[in-house]
Amino acid sequence: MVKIEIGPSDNGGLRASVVGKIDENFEGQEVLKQARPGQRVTLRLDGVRSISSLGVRALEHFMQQLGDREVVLEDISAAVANQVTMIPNLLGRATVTSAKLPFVCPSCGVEEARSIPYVRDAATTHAPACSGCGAKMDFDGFSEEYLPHA
Amino acid sequence: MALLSTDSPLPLHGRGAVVTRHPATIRRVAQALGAVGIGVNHALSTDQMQKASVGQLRVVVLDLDVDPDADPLALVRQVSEFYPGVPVVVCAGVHAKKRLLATLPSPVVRHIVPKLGGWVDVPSEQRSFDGPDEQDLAVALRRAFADEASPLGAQPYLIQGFSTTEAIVGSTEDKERALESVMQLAAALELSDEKKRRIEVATEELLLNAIYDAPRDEAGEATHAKLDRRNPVKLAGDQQVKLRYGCDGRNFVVSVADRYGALDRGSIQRSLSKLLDPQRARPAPGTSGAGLGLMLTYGAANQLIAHAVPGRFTEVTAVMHVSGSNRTALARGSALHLYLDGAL
Repeated sequence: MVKIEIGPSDNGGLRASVVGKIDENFEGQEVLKQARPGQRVTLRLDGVRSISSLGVRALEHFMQQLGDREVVLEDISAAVANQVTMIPNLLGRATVTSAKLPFVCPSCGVEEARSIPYVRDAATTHAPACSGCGAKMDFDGFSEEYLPHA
Repeated sequence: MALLSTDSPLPLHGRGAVVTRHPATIRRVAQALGAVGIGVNHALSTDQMQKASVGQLRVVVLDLDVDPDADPLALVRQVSEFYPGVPVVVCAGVHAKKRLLATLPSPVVRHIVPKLGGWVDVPSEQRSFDGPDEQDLAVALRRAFADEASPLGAQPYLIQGFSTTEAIVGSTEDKERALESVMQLAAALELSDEKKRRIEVATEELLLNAIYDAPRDEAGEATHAKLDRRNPVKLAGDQQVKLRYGCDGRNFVVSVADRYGALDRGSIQRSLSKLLDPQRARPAPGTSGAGLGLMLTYGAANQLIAHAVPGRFTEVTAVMHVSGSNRTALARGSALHLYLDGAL
């Protein structure tokens, strides 16, 4: 079950934040009803904790229904990022700008999900500083499992 | 030609051929085989394999890295022609995911086992891997040699004697409750979000497969497979599914058994081969199954174990490694153990 919060974005577009698990019941009707033809849609997906196999189909269908609108995905969660490496067509023509992925501080051990650009090797080239001690954090995963690598 | 000496002061239950030139793999595989009472006939390459008398060999462990440029299936074929009828364990570290899954079409391959650290396809200059996990391999071989004909649940993959929890799932509502119980355990153990996600994916997909894909009528036809997955379903008493799960601090294990035994090697191969060509990993249209469940479960698990006896049961078990970091778990890769074609 997901919760969707919708509001305007700075550039006259529509902005929606999706939180929860995407499963067979996900339709995204709230977004589809409010998005005007041609309007830019920005989806924030860092709250998506999991996607089931039926959710994969529901999400793909939702992305298709957004049609030819410009769709920008911000801070896709590790769950979404990992699915996209296995199912590259999942997000259709949407542009992913950033991913919120797991990092761990080698100095103080803090674990945090942090936002980095959605580009190859960003987990290394844009490794964040620990919010606790300021040390450069290590990616708690492999880029190949969460970021574009082709 | 060197003579193969097989003298041993220990009682052995047979021998296994191990084809590898990777020291860490020799050590770890020999430990695994030793743990189940199997002596090792070692060969550095397929050209150096030693003939064995009929019935002497219980298993062949083939390290695909003996020739990283060779077609993996051709290597398996070479081994199976040399040792006809002997089941094969394949392991690999170089392009492990791709090369291990490429051997699935061969029916002699019963276990595919990545070398630790070899799963993620990093550039060769960053590549570093150990042998396969000897503990996991020993458990897999012990199950194979025991030739069990009933579901074993989560127990074999936990510390011996460790408790597990059971739930009977007879409806969509039961499935949601069971999934919630599993996730409550994961949350109580304060596992990281990524570990919890992998557990949730594996549990839900295994339950969905058992509820919707497994049930058969008397003619063997699937009765629920075409149902709209958005509508709740209630299973008859003889269709109910058993979930067993537990966590010993090293492994989080989820096991789901149905009463049909309909899962076969072809279905597993078709599902997992989508990982070799991501363009094929598309959800099926419609409202029934998306056809991705087993693939996602395999991707989430560090070991996937499929055990089926046609007409009696299918049990699929997912083992998620939870000690250490998410990165540590991912580096272990996904082993596959198949108990579908009779005893190993």
